[in-house]
Amino acid sequence: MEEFNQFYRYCVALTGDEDEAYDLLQDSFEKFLRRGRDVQSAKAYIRGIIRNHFIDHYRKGAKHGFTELDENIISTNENSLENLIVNKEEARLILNELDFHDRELLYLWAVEEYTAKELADLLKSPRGTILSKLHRLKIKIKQWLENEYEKDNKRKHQGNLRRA
Amino acid sequence: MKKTIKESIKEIYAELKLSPEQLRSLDSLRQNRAGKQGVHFFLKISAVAMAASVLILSLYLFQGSESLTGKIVGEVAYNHNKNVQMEIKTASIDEVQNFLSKIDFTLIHSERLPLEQWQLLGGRYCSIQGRLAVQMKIRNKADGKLKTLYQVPYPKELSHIKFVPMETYASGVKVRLWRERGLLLGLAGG
Repeated sequence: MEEFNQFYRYCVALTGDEDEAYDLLQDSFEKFLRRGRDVQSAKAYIRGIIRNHFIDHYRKGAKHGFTELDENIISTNENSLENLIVNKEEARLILNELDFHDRELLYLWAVEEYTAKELADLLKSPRGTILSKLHRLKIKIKQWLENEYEKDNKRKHQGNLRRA
Repeated sequence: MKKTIKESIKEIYAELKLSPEQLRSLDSLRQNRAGKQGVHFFLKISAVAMAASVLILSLYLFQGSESLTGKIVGEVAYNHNKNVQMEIKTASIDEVQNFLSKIDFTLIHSERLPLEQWQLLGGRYCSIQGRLAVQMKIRNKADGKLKTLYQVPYPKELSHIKFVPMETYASGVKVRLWRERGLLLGLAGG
């Protein structure tokens, strides 16, 4: 049963929505059963079905809404994201801001603890591209955190002015 | 206590679990499949009959949902063409949310409308199928074109179908509908 929860979490990472995640899981699992393979030995296989089903279903959206990777950002550091200090509430807000590509990457890296090499195999991208994506993600999150601190400081400053 | 982003993300996902009903439903799918291995001929016939009934029922439900989405498309186009002034003019979705305090759902930044490409101009109340909804005016930063965006809780009447994003024309207006994070979103404009 825990396998279902694992797949469900992956579906949430893709859709960003718990209801849609369940729909996606159910559809993908039905598809998997129709093909007749054993769940115990097929984690990557089911994940592939989930991902393909999601991309097929949201293909139109992908054309319009998802941000492109800036290929100029290059990184060779596998632990690019490791040192970021982010509390749970901030992490929740960050997940809401990200598109599905970044959310999926963050999930696979943080929760499933995939290495850049494993991510490259899974997402069918060169390892260098994965490292650049992780690095770009770090920049994006750092910028978001800086903006939040700035907003917070402004709010505090305005509060102090009112009190004075 | 300070946490790394990895620890925080792990905690968030660890909290996500399927409900017992959802688990039961998925497990019964698995068991049903296993049981089908030795299906007898007359059972196959029954399955065909059952499939035909489901198909007829699905077609009936589909026609119902199709007419509902048609009505929603019409309402979105109508609201767009009315060109009513926004009740609040702001570029912040949080301010729209705070100002339109009667709405009982949380407005979202759609993944289909990235902030780098679209600017929010304001929002107002509107109605979609008798439910309180929000109309927002947005501008494309590249070409300056204006569109109206609609957000309303996803209608229960459509919960039996897998909603596929759609694009159509009504009253001379291009309308797109899609489901996102528990809401039904509509986008109107050329």
